Amino acid sequence: MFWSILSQSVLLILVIILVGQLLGWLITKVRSSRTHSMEGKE
Amino acid sequence: MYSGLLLGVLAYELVVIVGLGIWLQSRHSSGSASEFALAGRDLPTPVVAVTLALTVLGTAHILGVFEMAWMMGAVAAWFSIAHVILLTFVCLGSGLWVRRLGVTTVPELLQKTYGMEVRLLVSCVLAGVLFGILTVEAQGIGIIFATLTNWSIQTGAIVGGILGILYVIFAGMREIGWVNLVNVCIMYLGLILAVIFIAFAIPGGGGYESVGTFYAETDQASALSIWGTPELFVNFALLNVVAVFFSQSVNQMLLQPAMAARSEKTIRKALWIAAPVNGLFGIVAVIIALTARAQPEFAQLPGAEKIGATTMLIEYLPAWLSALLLASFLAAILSTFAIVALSIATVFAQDIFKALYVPRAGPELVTRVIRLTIIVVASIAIAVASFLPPILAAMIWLFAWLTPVFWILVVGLFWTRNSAAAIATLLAAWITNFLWSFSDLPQWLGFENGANYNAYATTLVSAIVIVVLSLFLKGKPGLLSRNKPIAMASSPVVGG
Repeated sequence: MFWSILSQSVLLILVIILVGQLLGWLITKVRSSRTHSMEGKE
Repeated sequence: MYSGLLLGVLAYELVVIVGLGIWLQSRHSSGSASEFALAGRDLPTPVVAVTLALTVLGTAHILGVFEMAWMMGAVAAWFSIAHVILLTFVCLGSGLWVRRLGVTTVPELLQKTYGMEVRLLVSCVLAGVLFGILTVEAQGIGIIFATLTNWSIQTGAIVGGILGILYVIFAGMREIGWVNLVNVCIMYLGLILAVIFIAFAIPGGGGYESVGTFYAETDQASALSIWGTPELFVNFALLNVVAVFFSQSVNQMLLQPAMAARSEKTIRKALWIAAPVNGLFGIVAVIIALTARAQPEFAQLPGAEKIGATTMLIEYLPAWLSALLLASFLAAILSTFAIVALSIATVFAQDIFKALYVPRAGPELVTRVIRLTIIVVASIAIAVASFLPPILAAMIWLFAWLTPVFWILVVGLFWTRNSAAAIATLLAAWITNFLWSFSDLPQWLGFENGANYNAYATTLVSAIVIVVLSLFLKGKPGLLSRNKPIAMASSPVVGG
């Protein structure tokens, strides 16, 4: 009971943090590439 | 009455709070408003991380999760998991935005984005919501004292509340941060030891296996899964994620530690400490509550869902360990009580007193107003706490009021800024919440269990109104939009 709840939760917490990091990285990438392309047009 | 235990708990609070307060006072001047409310904006990663984790780890996390796990099973862990999602967003999103813009309060950020009217509207509602949270925290302090003594929860709230007021007016944000750092170490050491001691103390010698067997044999196997049943997942888990995420990610009390961080990098790094520290606490609380519920001696107590878990801690653990654990629980609740009181006072002093009435108020006057406001609002909160509203239900209802602030901020920072659209969104969401709470609207729309769905309703209405109006009304470019160069972090710290 103890290890089952703990392992499910730890895994879920880790997945949430990693997905957050990945999304943050993707958003930064997309925004910086958009800025570069707009600067290029100007 | 557990007199020895009570003395131990009070001794802990005295040594940690007063001792650290004196040490910090000797090292830092607390005269300026920026030093008092934002610790001079130089808190390091460990302090920012544990303050973020403990700011949202109060009565609801400890006593609320005990209560919900007792009634629903391991799905109660989602209250904690919702906070992990929240902290991830704050450390990688909203916390960075407020630090970058150099603001002192969320309403001040709203003024930069939309103007004075929006700042005032949100200040008033934010102060009301924070006050509601403060009454819940006062109730939590009362419950811990009631567990340790023969006092009523109301008397416990008065005694503990006075301790909380003294705590926050002593040294402000810097002390709250450092007390959190010491407390989190003690609390986790206490929790690890408690889990081990409880395993050996469970009657029959079967440890946690026997707890699992109890739920399997009584046809409650779903109580052992954090995913619960599909119905519980929608009505509790998902609802918690929506309410916590959309309201707390722009709440003053959670963004204040981010504003006080040394740099943006400090906040990003803080995620790896804050999210696990906060999340795992709720998981251990769930395990403790499920274990207590499986023991007939605690399950048969009157009001077992509220006091069963804490009573088990006192009965199963050695006196020194239960004193240490309850003291660290109390310190965590006091920390939330303190930072909520500090947030209300900061919003009042900066966004109402200084912004509206005394624009020339100096840092000393603002700090005096913050301290006085803390005493007044905390005293009223202690009085209101005597009505003892249900803990998690009260929190979720309060959170629903802040969901439109999230939407107008995200749209105003990254897309387009139109004050009329923002005001219309705020009013639409607040009217929806009011009607949802005090009329037959949920039943009329076909929701049997509608009273719980405030956060779903306000989130949906806010998102639709702000997106539709922003599409049709012309506005200025977003404040952090890449199309619009701004001098970031160049604005002076108000009162600092």
